[in-house]
Amino acid sequence: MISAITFINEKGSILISRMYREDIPKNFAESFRIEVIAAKEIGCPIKQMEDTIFMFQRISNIFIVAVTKKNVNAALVFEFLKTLVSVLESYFGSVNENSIRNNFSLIYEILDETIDFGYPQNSSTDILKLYINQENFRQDKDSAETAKKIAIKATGVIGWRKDDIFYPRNELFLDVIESVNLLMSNSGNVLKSDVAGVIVMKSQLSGMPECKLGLNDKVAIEEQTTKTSKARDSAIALDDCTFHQCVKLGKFDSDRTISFIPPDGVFELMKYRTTENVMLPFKVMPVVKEQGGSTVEAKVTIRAEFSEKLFASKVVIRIPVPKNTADTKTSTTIGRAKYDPTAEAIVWRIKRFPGRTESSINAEINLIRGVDSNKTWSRPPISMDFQVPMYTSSGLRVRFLKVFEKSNYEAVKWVRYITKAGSYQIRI
Amino acid sequence: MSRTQAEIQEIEFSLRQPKEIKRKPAIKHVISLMTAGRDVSALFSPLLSCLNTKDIEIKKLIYLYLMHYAKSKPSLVEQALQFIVVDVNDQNPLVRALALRTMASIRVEKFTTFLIEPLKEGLKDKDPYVRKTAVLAVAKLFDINPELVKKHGFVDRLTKLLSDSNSMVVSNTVATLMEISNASPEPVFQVTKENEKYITSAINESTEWGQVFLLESLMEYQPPSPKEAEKIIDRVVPRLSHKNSAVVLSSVRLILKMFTFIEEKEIILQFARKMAPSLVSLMDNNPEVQYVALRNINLFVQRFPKLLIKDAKVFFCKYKDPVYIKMEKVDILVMLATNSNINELLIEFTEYAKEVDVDFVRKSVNAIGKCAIKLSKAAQACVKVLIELVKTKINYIVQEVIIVVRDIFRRYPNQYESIIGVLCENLQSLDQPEAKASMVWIIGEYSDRIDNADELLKAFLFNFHEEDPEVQLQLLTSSVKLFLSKPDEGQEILEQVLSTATNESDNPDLRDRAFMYFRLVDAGFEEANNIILGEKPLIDTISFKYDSKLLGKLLSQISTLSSVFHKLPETFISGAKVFAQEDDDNSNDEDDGGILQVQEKEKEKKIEREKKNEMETQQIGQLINFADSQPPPIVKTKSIPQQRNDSPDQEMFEMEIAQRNDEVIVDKEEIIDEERGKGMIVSAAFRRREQQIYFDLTISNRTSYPFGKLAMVFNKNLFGMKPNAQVPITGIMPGQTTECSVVCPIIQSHKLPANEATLEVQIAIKNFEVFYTQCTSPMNIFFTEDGKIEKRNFLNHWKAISDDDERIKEIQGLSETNPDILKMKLANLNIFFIAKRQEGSIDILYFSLKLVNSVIFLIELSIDQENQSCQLATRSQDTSLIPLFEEFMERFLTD
Repeated sequence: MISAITFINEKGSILISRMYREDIPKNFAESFRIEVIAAKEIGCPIKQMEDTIFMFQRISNIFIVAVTKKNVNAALVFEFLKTLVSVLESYFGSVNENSIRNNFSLIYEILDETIDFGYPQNSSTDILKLYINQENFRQDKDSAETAKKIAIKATGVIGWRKDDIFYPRNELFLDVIESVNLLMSNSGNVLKSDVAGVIVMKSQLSGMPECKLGLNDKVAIEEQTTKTSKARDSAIALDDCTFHQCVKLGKFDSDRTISFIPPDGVFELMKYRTTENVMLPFKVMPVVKEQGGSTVEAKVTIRAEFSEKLFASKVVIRIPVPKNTADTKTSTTIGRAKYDPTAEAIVWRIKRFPGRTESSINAEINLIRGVDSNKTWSRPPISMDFQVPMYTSSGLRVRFLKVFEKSNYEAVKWVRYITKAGSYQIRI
Repeated sequence: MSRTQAEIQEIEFSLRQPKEIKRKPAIKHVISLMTAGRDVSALFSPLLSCLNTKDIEIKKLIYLYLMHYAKSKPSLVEQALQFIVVDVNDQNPLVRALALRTMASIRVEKFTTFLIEPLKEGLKDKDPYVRKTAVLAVAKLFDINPELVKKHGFVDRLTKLLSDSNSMVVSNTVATLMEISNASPEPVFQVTKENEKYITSAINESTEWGQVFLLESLMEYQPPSPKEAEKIIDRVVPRLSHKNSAVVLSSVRLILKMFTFIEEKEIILQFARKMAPSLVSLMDNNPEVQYVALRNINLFVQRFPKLLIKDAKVFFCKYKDPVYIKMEKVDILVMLATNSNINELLIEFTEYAKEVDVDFVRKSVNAIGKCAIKLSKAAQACVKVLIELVKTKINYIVQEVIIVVRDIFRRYPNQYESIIGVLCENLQSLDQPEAKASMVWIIGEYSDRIDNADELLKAFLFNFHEEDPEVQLQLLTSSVKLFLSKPDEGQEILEQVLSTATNESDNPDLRDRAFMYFRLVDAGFEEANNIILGEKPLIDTISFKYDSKLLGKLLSQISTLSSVFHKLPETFISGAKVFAQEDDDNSNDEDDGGILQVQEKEKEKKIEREKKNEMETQQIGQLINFADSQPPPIVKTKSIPQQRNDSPDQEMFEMEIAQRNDEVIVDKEEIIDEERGKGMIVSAAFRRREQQIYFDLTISNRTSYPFGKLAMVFNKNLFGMKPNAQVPITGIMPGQTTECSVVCPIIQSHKLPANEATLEVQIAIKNFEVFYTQCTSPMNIFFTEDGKIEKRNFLNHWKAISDDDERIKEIQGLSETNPDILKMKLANLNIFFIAKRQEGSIDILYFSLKLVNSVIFLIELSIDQENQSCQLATRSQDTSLIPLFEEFMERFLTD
């Protein structure tokens, strides 16, 4: 199992190091510095030096490193590092060298609680916050009685929820957030398109509510044969779903019901993926011509494919230009375009892009003739960012969301949809 | 007073403040200094006085301090222990658990006894939080002192906790038991049918990490029937939808394990289909997890090649993927290539070939070549893409294309020659030896169809001496081919090459080969033509697969580092235990683990042996192939099983094999003494065991400082032994002596020229400075295990060697004259007994042996019992080594 977790900065000095086992050499950070940090190019996240194995995740300007000498479960280690980062973020915001230095005693406490002898233990933020906190209202929490309750929860079956939650107004917010990924060839063929969806829930419910969520999932609808053919038509095929630990997986496997007792506050209820019948919100038609090594001409036309009632916001189109670009001339039908030398791209921003409309950009890119100008330009793809509210690329819809609680309160439920660009790329 | 001292005093003052709120920042300050590596041990007693507190945060910080200094300052621990012991009985379960956790983490052996009683209580605590902490404390205790765990029956106590009502206690218990079991000489924990129930029911309620431990423990479960195995799978399948990739992969691993107990292919396939989408979903993760997933998917695809084909697009590279992800994706794409998706894939690969990372570009070009070899129907399309790529004129692309085109020609001879013209236009840019050698091979192979083949070859000859040996050898062969197909144009070139190679080169391989060609061509045009331009075996579809046994073992390691490295754990983890692993022909017998394990080990040895044989046969294949010196074909040769001969001698021989021990003990020789090594003493010996040559070393450190990494190289030696690894020990402490072994495979290029026959190996060992020394390699380490010649072939072999090549030596003063004992002793050295006859009082014994370079020695040993002497007659194709052998035998027989 994990022998140590260490936070190391870019210079290779240790910020925090928690040893769980003594089977690793004391100076392991030194070899990490030499082999990984000095190597500059960060390659594979698993490195073996002699018989010590380093598995690391880089976040802002630090490395979080798990060290081991055993044939550990690699997926578990990386998942744990990921979880650790999100736990730390929930305590003090962004994780970087400064925030690590400023919170070291808190981090030691977290490292102590989330791993014991190299085995990850409870790492749920909600529960950890019950007994690890930096404010000084700890005194009353340290009384034996409260401690007993905390201890039960820390090992409890429903480890993710306290039992004494009360809200005067019971509300449930559901956000369906889809990232649409596209890879299109320069001739307009869709090489790859899929939707990675995530359903984020914010629950403000009292007591121990049991929730049930119904989606227009093809398999679920076909199982309930009484449904009309209309419901069946609008159903979509989910390739695969993964769930928060609160969802009863056995139940989903047997009859595709998503039922769960939600944690309090914001959490990711489920993730899903579809590859069939993906509706692309934007079509992009690029023409990029290199004119004899001194200029490049680009004309890119974009068409919004969604209904005219909707609009996209925060649309950004990045048209890559060669390294040796001197200046650019652009004209657009909508929005503003600017050459960004650090990004090596012309960045075209459109605040609001109405549905069923088309706009385009013409750009002339002048190049500096230099030593490396005869190197070929790798022509990276055009990439796009956007958000389309109240639209799902997969066609996913929430059919129902029910809340059962023994006090029988009526919960107010809100559902929103939004489609964002994941990796939306068009080759040129 | 220094600044540091002042700072420490200041802290001490704050620590002695009456109010706790004022003390707390000072305590934090101490810990931060400790993390920074400063010595704050002086502050121990003021810190200890702060321990009397209700504030858990303070307690935790002080305990942290305690664990840090425990090893170096045991006396401090003793004082603190009284506080901790009080905490073990605190009302607050968090405090009780903390105290247990801390006590178990103080790794000072003399205090472990204090732990026993609280630990026993802790395992029975009414609070699950304390129990789950106590369980892991047992694992810690085992790590410090396994005897105590045994003595106090902790394993039984733990086994009882498997039925605990709290799932976290169960999952920690399982983890602890597995760890103890793995570290014990015999397994102490087995998943029986009864505790299997507890484990599977705990899965549903566990944390994500707990689920992983529980799933891992079920890997040890032997379901009594296929139905039972199916039941387990049914229970595990829902886990495939878990968000945590470790849970998903551990489930996959367990399901694959359960497959080995199910025979019906349909059922297996049905469950395998359920796993495919979950694996694909793992691609929606951060790069680190993706990397683990991709390495595992690679194994999964080898096992179920068809299931992921429709998802091939998921593995298309994104522009911003890190290169290490892209490389893995390309591998998987090649595996998933079919005739129906190849066009899409080719567009992708072409796109990747435009990127900037050179390694990735070359990998993509290579992928196109692999697809061409894999899919014969698509080969045409692949070649077309390759031609397009050559036109980019980008140096590394062109070179990689040339390398793959050579393989394509080997797969589809005489088909895609149109590409040759395009390639020939780009000869100037070649700078990699492999690409050059490939190009030269192509020119030679198709010299009859390339009009200006002679000119092209000439261009390469210009720099003959500076070329890599690989290229030189290829030039030699291609010149011969050119000469045979176009004698008029080729003659001049051939003469030039042969004379350069024989007169001016100091590379023995090159020289020998040049002589061989010279004689071959001399022997007659027809013969040479037949041999050199004869039909060549086609290369097989390049296999991307591991052999099924290795694959089976790797699949049972899914999700672990082993599955990421594609190496078995025992090859990269020191002290890894080889456990009963699944096998294709896994029988359902319920042997107890111990026996199974032994069998398994033996099986593994056998596999290794088979592999070795296969390798050797391949090497021979390559040697033979030198005759045509084409790129060594990927020939799949099976090791030929030893034919069983029913003659009594043969049986006798079998018996001897059974009796003999594998290792011949040779005493180590001190190769660096204390004076020369400036405090480092090295003794060493070459030994042969497990069909390999080992260099066994004993290194002592008599200096006052620890040694760092040791490096070792061999000079060129008789057969070309070369250590395949660095000395695998580091950090030898003063006064310490360590032993280690390094495998020394035979590397052809590391051979001495034949005229310098000596068994001395010159060695350089680098510690702080380089020490030069030498060590004698006893000749028997070069005798291979397969040196036995069949009785009926022996005579043919004997006759095949002319009487002139026989050497005879008289040896006096034998220490042993009993033929049976001699037979056995010689068999230990891999000198194999063939037959025996008697002539009056003289026993005549026949033996054979084979050297690592495949030279065979045939031996006639005539023993004169009365005079205690013998006559040794040796015949071999290579007589140059006979004197060394005679010397060796004399020493052996008279010793």
